[in-house]
Amino acid sequence: MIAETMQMADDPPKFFNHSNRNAHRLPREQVEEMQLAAFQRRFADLRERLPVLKAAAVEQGIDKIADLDAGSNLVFPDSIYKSYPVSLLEKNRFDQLTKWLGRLTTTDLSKADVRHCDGIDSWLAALEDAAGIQVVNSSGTSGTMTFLPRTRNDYRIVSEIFGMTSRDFNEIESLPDLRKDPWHSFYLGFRGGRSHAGRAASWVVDNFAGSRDHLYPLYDMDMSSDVMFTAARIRRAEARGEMDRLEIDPKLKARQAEFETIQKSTAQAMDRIFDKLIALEGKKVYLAGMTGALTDLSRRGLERGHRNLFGSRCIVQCGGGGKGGKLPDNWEEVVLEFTGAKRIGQYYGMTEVTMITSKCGEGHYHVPPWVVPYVLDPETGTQLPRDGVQTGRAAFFDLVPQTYWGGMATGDEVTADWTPCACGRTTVHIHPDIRRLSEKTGADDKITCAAADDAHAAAIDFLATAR
Amino acid sequence: MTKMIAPSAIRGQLIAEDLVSFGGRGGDTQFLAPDPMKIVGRLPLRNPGDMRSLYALKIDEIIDYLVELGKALDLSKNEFMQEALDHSYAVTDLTPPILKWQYSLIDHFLSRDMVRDYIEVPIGIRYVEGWQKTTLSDGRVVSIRAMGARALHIVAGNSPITSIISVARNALTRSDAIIKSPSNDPFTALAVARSMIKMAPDHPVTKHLSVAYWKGGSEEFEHKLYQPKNLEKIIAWGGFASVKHVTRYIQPGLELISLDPKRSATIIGRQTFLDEATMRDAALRAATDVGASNQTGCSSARVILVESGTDEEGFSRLRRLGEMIYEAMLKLPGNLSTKPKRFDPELRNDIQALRSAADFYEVIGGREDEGAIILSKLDEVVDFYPRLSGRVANLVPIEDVVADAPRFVNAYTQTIGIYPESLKLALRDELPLFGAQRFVTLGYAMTANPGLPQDAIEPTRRMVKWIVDESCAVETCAPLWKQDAA
Repeated sequence: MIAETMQMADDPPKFFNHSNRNAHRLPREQVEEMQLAAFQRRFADLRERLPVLKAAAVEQGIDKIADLDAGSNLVFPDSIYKSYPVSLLEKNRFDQLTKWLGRLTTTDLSKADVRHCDGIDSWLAALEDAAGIQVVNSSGTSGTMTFLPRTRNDYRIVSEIFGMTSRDFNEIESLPDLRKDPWHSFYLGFRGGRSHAGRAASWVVDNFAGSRDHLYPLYDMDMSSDVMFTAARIRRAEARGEMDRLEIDPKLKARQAEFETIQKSTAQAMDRIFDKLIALEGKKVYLAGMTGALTDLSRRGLERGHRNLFGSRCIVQCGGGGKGGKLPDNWEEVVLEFTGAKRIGQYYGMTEVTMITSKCGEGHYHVPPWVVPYVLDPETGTQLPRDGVQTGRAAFFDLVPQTYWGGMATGDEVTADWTPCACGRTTVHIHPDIRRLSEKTGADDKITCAAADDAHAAAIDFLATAR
Repeated sequence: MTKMIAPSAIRGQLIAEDLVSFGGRGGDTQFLAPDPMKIVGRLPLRNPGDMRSLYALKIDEIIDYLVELGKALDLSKNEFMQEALDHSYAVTDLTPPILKWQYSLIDHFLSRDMVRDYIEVPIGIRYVEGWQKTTLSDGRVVSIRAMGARALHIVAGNSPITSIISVARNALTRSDAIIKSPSNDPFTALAVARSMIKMAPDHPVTKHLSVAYWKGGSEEFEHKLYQPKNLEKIIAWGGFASVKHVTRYIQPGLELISLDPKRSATIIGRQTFLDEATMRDAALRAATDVGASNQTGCSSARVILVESGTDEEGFSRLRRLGEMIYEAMLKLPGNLSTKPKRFDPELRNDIQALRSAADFYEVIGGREDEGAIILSKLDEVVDFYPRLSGRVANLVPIEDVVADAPRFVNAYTQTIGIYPESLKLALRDELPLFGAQRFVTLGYAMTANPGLPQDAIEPTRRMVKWIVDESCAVETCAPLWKQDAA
């Protein structure tokens, strides 16, 4: 039993044979039994090796996870992954940052030579080279940047889960052979990068394009974590009345001419992508990206008389809100009419959890068996019963990570539902009305693709024109 | 449960009709108030000439009125104030003992000498009382007078005293006020207005005060009211959103007097570490600046720069001082400071996260939401410092405060409490360049005198209209029509 359970936790796509349907039809009791066993194993494995977990366990006197409810005492606030002084980033103190990050993972980071690093991009590259760790950073829209110490294997799993969810939603039964029959894949974002948004292009390659040859990103460049950090600093300085103190990193200043070129080329990027879309009329196409950009392209297409461009085989997925402005109410109709797709995939997930979930026919986001969902009282942080329908702060224990702690309280307010869903899936599901708890206080730090792209673009503008 | 009612008071008349429901802060407590769209037509003083009645009064008579009002507001006798206090418990961010204590201060804020200072210090009574004559070097003889205006006061709800100050300043400047109550204190200003109606229903001061509640940002309502034909000035106390949304109505003829949202800091010099007694003294004072009124004020201390040194020994000194502040804060009298009513869950998470970053931070207390002292190990504030509340302060070790303090000061920095006193002289010419607005002896940050400038402006001087009468005699003041060609 335990061996089988750990196969599920260690590699969910393999265990479920890359099928989302398989993952969501196990009886609830069986899932919870497996979850508890895996939770206990992760705790036993990591307790002595992960200083941050050990400290929390000692403080609360926890030496065993008796049941899933008890596990909720060991979810950490997501701010734990940004608990470093932000000045360390500004001063390029990557030795101290490495030490800080080292407390949050069992991966040995001490061998990484980070003395020569002159920015976040080079720091994260050095960590990857020396320790094989693929640290992901958040968009920094809150003013600081989260760093999550994922492994290469973790990201392989994230990508495969993205494939499972996308295929399930688009009624693709079996694993397609991408070498023979790839999708022409449009990704209305950056070609690459180390943020969650920057990495999403590679999932499109893995699951639809098959190779970079069939990937057409809107911005044919990597999202720079240093530029994103500049975006974060601008926002912070604006919010705190400190724009007069904001000094641009000299190494970014030296690249000003490059940023001017980027600024000009991004202005033409939509034209380029639009022409490419029209040229591929009738082909097998995958189209994903920010809702706002998708809507703009579709509107432009309809104005020029293009309807049902690719037919019903076309796959459309989007995330994030309207770029800068508000989305038109009928944006979904506009996109469907232009592309010919039958539906538009909208997913729920977050950087910190190995979960990408789409809406079922009932409009619910189903939480997969390798993630234990909790709902916490937003004021006190105490766990609400894992029963019935509960609204509060979402927390998750992600059973996949083996090198960092998977227990995480988020900033999302969700309604989680433990009653059976009419769609037939057996798993716990989340209602579609999800919002940031910080929206109540006005301080949003939402991590979405749209926010990341916007922030990056704004920072490029700033860097291109700063004196 | 019967819902609480906050009627409107419009120039001596109480209105409790067409009641609609409003949510208190956090959406948990509701109260009823007149439908704003039904009263919006009656709120403005349409004929500015009606302010003439205020000029029939001597300033001394207005002071007499305010002092008498102070006595009438005595909580033990005044049923309106008793009801307001009772209702306020549900909506305020303060705990009952603190709110009750603040109500007890109203008498002090309306005492004769205090009230006289509110007008004498910033303006000078002779300027509101009549025309002040001077002769200028170009020969003209001028008379200057400070006259009242029709003003809207968007008062803050973190302390009931802000309503009291607004009422007093309005009367002393011979102005006409509409007070927009805040949702976390919709009752105090109203109870004052009701007491005024009871005390002197036909008195001009009573007839030039209105109090109403509407949800800040209600566009249709505010667009109707916030017009130059209705108002000349808007005085906005704090609240980033409330100030921001008012700015859209500002136009020629309608002026904004903005007391921006502010944060305050503390600077503790190295002389503090001379001996244990001095440290204890500084700790008690710092604890008072942090803990008074549960850190709800814009002048509450949040970031505390300590000239402890930044090496290991320096950090030990910082930790010792932090422990003393924490200890002193928990021992503050219950009318001044208590365990906070609500603890920001995001802040709780942020503090918990710091506990995992032992290389950079230590946290004293905070496990029971009682308040906490965060010690920085590097000379940097915590990144979430704008969120510090509920009696949570961040102590930052500094090598040389005179050299380093400007880094921590910006346009949002209102008060800086300083210890020891002599350190002020080294800082007060420098820190205002970066934004600091008020220096005060450590331990006194949360005491206030409304006669003084606030947020680097003089609100009372801004509230009045400065009128000049220039007399130019042809003999002394060369006329334009007679200038010889050069």
